[in-house]
Amino acid sequence: MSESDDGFVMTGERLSRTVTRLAGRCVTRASKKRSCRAIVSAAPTTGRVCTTAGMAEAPPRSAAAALRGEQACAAAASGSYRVVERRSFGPYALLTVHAPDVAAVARPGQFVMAAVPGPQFHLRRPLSLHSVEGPRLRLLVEPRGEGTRALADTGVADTLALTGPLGSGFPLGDVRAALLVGGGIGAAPLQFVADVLRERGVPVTAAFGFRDEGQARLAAAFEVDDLWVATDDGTVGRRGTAVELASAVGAGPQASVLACGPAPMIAQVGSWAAAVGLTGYASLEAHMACGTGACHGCVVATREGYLRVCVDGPVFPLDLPAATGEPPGGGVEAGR
Amino acid sequence: MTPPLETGRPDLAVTLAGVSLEHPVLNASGTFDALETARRFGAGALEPFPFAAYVPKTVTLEARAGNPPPRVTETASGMINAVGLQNPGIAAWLDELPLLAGVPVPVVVNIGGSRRADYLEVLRRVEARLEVHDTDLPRVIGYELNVSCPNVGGGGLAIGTQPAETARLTAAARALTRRLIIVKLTPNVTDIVAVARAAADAGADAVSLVNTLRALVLDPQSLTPCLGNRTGGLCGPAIKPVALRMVWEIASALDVPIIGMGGIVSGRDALEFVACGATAVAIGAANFTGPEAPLRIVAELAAEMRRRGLTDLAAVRGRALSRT
Repeated sequence: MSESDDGFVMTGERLSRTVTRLAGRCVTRASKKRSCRAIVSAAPTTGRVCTTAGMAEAPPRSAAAALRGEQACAAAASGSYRVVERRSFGPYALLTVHAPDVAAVARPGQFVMAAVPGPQFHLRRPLSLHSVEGPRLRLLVEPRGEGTRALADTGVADTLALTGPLGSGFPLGDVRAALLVGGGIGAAPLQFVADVLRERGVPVTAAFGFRDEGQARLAAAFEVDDLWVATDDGTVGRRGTAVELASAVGAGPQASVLACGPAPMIAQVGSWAAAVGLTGYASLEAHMACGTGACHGCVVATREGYLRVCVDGPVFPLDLPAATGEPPGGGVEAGR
Repeated sequence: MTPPLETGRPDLAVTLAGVSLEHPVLNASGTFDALETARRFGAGALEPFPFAAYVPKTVTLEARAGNPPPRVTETASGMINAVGLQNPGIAAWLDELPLLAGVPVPVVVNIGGSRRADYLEVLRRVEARLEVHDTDLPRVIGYELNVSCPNVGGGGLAIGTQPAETARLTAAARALTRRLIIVKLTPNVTDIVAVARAAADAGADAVSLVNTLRALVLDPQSLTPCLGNRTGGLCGPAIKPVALRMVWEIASALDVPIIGMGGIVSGRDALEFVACGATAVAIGAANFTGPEAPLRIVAELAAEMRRRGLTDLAAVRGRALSRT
């Protein structure tokens, strides 16, 4: 263990300070007080009951320290929830799900694991929260393979088995202005981000890049005041990538860049932001199995080694993913 | 043995190599993490604890970064993974061991390694830590030697596919502890009975099987391997018939207690492993179908027994065997 300069104990090589800071934050729009239940350990607790508001201001601490019995914010639920509305955008579906316990504690950038209807499917699929309105969640689904196709076909009154909310959210507390950069279906969680920032009166500009006209239909699933669209083939909006669009739209020096999309796009956003002196956060995508930190199946290469997208992320500082796609020193010890 | 509960629930208790377990369902290493579950869902998710014994993810002597992503993908009735035993190494692992003190069930430490000496050093260090009388530690009842990971270079399969190597490791581990030694077997062999016999003869208290089957999945677009490690290990319902056959073969030939696993997603699956001779079973990929899976499977097992008029598992254990 080592004491970091922030004065909190770090226990894990895996829990970098940056990531711990993200994980330790529990900022939520929900005003409902929650008692934070610990503990696995039989260690004596402080007996403190924390509220969500309290947690937002609490000094960041490692998840391990939280389990020692002092503080934990374990809010995820698991159950079957009813689909109450379904909108189509070409092949894409925007599902509205009545899930009060998930919605109450959800933060922008978090995700749910959704069970795919049908016995032939084994793994749940991670879906980011497009938005939250009262007791309802919205999930934007791209039919990528058979599983996500079955999810996109879910109809009104069907039930969806969900686990969530999971993962870190975008830390928005210090954001004074935001440039949202989305690539394809990756734009999904940025609606929730925009909603929260709008509520706080923070100016938001969005630059979304899509492959072609078909994928650009997704843009209609978003309500952002200042939304710019580009397509790779120029059929809708400007011709070019999300990053080229973001660069053209520009952002003030105070703006935070908040991005979500495929790994190559995130790398481009990171390079561009660094070049123009902007900082921010990116939400990453990965194939997942458990979604809850157990299996280590969803890692991404970062400057601090392989980190799990499901619990160390999915939101990471924009400059954290390793540019080479491999962690420092190479991640492979054997077996390649 | 406790009598059946008033609710009419059959007696699920089993004794695995002398250790009493409330029911026969364990977790397969690397598919369930008690600490992460508490972090996500609160400690309430561990009450009742979903497994009769807890097997944490494989720990090795040195930290391992694991394999490059992608590491998992779904396949027909299952999944393939090549995580590569990512773990913090035994020193950091022992630092966090007190966090498991509140786990209300016995803990089995799963050990991996690149060389025999590494396995033994990990075992030695855990024993040394447990020697220090400390009420702040979980109840460690034994070790599971992972000699069957298909996704690492040295160790793993290099030991588990060879009866002589398996015997050497098992005997050396046996000499270091009075706790249980469980050898986790690979299905990637021609004769699994030979490996199980080598482990049992060298002093293993039990064998657990099967680990995953070596497999390959291609990306449909590029027609190149999906996983960063190229090959991976197949698990899930797709491998259940293979696992059942192997448990059945070992139980037919040997008296060593067996922890059966491989594609168990229902109570009936679990009962089938018991009918093939398993004393206990483990849930692996089913944990990824949702956090409710383990307790659902235990409840289904009880329901299956009730439906069949079984009052305890001994009455059905080995029913599928054709011993002469």
